[in-house]
Amino acid sequence: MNNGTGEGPRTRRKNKRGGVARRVARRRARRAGDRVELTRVAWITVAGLILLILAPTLALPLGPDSSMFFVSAQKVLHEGAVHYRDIVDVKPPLVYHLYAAAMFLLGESVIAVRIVDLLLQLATCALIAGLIRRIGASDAWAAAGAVLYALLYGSLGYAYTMQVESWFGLVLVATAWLALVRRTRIAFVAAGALSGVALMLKFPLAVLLGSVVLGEWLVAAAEPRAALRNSALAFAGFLGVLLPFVLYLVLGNAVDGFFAVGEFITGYARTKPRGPVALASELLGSLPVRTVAALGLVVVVAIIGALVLTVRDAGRATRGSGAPTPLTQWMLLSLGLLTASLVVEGKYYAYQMSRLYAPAAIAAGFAIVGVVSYLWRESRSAFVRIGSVAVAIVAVIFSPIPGWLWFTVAPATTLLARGEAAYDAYFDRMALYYPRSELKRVGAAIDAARVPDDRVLALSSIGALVHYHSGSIPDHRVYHSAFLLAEFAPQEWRDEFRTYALERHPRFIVVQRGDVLTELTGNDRSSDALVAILGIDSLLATGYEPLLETKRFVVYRRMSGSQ
Amino acid sequence: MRLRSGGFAGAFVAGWEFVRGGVRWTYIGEMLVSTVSGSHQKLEHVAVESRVIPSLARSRSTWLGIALLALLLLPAALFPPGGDAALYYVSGQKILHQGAAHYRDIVDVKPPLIYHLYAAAAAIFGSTVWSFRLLDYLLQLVTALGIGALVGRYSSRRRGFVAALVYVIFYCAQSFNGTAITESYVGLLAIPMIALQLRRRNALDFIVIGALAGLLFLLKYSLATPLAAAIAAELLLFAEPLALRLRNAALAIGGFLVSAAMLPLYLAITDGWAGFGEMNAFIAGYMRNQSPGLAAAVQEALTALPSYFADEYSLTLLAASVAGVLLALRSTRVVGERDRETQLLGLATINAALMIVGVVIEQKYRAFHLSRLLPYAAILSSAGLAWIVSRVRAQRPLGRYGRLALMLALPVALALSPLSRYALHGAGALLWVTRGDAGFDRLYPSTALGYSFVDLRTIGEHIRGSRAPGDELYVSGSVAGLVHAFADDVPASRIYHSAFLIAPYAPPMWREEIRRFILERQPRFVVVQLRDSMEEMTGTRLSSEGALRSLPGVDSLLQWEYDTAVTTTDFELYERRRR
Repeated sequence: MNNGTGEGPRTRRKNKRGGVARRVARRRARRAGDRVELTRVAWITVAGLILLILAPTLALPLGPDSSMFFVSAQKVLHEGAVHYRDIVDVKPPLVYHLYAAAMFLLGESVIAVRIVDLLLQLATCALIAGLIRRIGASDAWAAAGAVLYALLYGSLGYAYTMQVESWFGLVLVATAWLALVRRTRIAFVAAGALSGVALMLKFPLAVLLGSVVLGEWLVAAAEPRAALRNSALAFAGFLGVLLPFVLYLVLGNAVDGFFAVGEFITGYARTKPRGPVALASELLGSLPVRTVAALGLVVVVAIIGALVLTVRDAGRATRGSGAPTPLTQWMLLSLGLLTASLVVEGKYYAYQMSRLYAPAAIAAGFAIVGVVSYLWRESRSAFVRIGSVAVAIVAVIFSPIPGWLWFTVAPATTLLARGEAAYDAYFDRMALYYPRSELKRVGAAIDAARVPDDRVLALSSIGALVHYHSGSIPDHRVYHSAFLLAEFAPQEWRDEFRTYALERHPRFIVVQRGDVLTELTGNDRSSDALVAILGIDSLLATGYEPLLETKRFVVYRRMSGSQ
Repeated sequence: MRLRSGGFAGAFVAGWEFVRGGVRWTYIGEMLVSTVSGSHQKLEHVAVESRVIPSLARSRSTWLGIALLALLLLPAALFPPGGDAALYYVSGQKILHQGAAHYRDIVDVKPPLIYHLYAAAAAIFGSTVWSFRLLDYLLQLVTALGIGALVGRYSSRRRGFVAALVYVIFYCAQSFNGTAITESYVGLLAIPMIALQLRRRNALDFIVIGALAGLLFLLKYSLATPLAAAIAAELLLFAEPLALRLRNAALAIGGFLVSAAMLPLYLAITDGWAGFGEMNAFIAGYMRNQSPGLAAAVQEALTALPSYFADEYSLTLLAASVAGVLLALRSTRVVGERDRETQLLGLATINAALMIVGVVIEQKYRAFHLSRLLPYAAILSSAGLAWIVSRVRAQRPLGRYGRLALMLALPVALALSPLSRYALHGAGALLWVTRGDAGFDRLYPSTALGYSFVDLRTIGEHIRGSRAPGDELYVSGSVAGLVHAFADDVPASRIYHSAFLIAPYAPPMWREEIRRFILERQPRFVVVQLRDSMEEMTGTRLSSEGALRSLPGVDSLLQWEYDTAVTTTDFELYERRRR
């Protein structure tokens, strides 16, 4: 396949050996002004910059979702829990086991998972740079794409990192490598298998298989027979991953739990407004605004620019007067499919949008480098120079950089410079419905009063965080109140939870107030409503006493003698 | 044909030539420019040259283009009155019927020009709410044609038409609430400024440029940024000797000062200084209320601006505008001789940038505040669109991927352009005309607006039906202008927007004035708006009703002397008992 430069791997190897030829080529390229080849020192600088951007994420605490994964992974490690059978949550099993693996390897702490996350993000950046260098043949683009990805990820902050989407970028770029660079039969099977891995991270992410298949027909422009074969091989690889999943469900005795979660997801999907008007309002209103909020105005505009340039270059290539840009074509195709998956999901939080980050960084990097080189070429007059500086300032202001500074650098430096109290105060301001300092007080109160084997039951939308801060691992399987509050949740979950409370009499019951999650539950009840719904009010009244009451939480402790 | 008459006569003659022979599209701009600058010779040149190009087809396409623009602009003429526009309309009525002067007899934050524009509309077209819509329609059509002529002159007729089209679509996409306001007339004054700076560049032109900026200042203080843009452009974009460019800048400042001096003159003649001082005290308090600190202001700008550009401005127009800005940042190959089209784009870029800075300083990010960008957006985006289309067209055939990408991207681009808002608000105008208030309310629910047109109509009809000559109406509401307009009433008091009553930083004499007006004059009708919290403006959550009742003596007066005549979801109408 043409890699866009007319330069095959063999030539590249030759150049590597021939240092003089490389230096001459680099000098020529520099003189031409449109290709910047980075030196080893420059690459080390870029790598250092990426590390600098991503390293502060190590200081971030767990968020509501990542705490679910964390506590579930503890269950996997300590109780041999199986997802769907012993853990109720909507995601497929992979993320819980990834967390478990990280904790198994590096210890049972947040930093262990953060380190693994950092390594995976660095690997994603490296793969992005490698892929662009290989196909796009531009060092500047490669560096821009990798740095942009790091900035996008770094701008997510504590609650939206270490999500399933966070690792999708790595899967996507690896798939692109297999489908665009390797292109052997095994590569297509592996690309399909990686799409299966994406499915195991989150079901809608399986659209990656669509990128592989459509990419064959539209981007690679392979012969129909070859495209058909490659698509079939990718399907085979995809199915190859589904088989272990089915085995997991059957051997783990988790089929019923899987269908119960399926029932919950179906009910949840029904709460979303439907019909053409709702869809149109979502597509025209929410989607552009949320996309800009998640990616940054500059990245979105750059993606549109990349689309224009890619369509132009596709035409040039057809007429044989220029090189095609298969990488941007493939990434724009993926962006389209992933955006469709977002619309199907109907949720546009920044972490859900983060599935777009890797293809967005690659496509936007392409356009940004183009604009920078254009402005560089044109910067001969004072107006253009001043205008370029102004454009650069505006670009930085509306890039992911302010988000990175605010959501990641600020807490990390606060922790380093001003200690844990200031760090907690920072997150108190950030979190909308659970001040971190309150949560820590709840955890500390339980931790101080509990003895080993004391159970904690949390009626809370951040039940996992309550468990994490109190140092307890739930031995029940529902620890997010949305699965109890939503009317469309299977009744068996509520019955099971109630039975657990009434029969096991956990030593501590934590009730959260004011955590209305209408988007998840379809109603405006908060977790404290569960006390009445589940019929455990009399239990609390007769057998428990308040241990701690904060603005958002009440911690009940079982009275001695009451068992 | 010899032109010996004055500027407007010259314009008439050139216009006649245009009708007869088919003047080039691009000459419309020259006509406008020449009219403004009073250069007769130029008009003669236009008129004569127009006869030299008797292209019938071109003339026909020009007329078709103008007709299409006029047709597409129709929603602007058919919109119902918006909240701010109704306030200007009512003030215009006061000027026309009571000989009122701004600041002395009218309390509102804007400088005087907009109220007098509305008064002129009523004087020309009659005292109905359609008067200002009609004038606005004509002025916007002139603006669109001006933009078309300007762009057409320096690039191509087709691009000029696209720019005018973008302007018209984008303008109507501002909805009934965002049109016929101060920001709506930026293009009308700023386009001739650009034309003069690019084309003529004599001393008088720069004085006129400054004077036009002064008029923008008299529309809204923060709209004066085109003066700064003109000076910056003079220093950065033009290659004449520095001394000459400095002279030009000085002349523009001079023109501005002359124009802006009309404000103190107006205040002196109308005895409006005291009212002006009161309003400045209010604005100072308002600015303090608006400034919750630098960090919060920065955070708001970082959130609100991207949100506006992604939504109301639209991603399609944004991408095209960015392409236009990049085209403006081109260096010429020959030193000292810049490409005029690039200069036009450069001027539009500088103007747009300074307008955004103005909005950031104002810290108000509603779509209608940012509608001041419209004329520049039209110029930049038309250039960007043309560049994108030409680049893609030049590469045909596009191949399988390119065709598919284009097939998918085109409808998405159209959907994510101002066209979708144009369709929505255009439908609103159509509903208003064909199905009346109820039809319109269905499209714009009162939960979003804070009032419904059915309610306004009910209240207005009750007042009109039961009032006797000399009966007065007092309205305490954020849309008091609309209530007065629907009741065909010209307010007797000078304060009729409840923000001036609610805001804690409003001069205390205003509250006292309202209190005395109600207690002493005991107007026959009092209308209160019930749930119109304007925290952004007033800094409190107090509603108009709460604010009015909090005035000493007013609550008991309403209780003992008035009956509740009409109650709707958002309003209550009290009627004084007959004595």
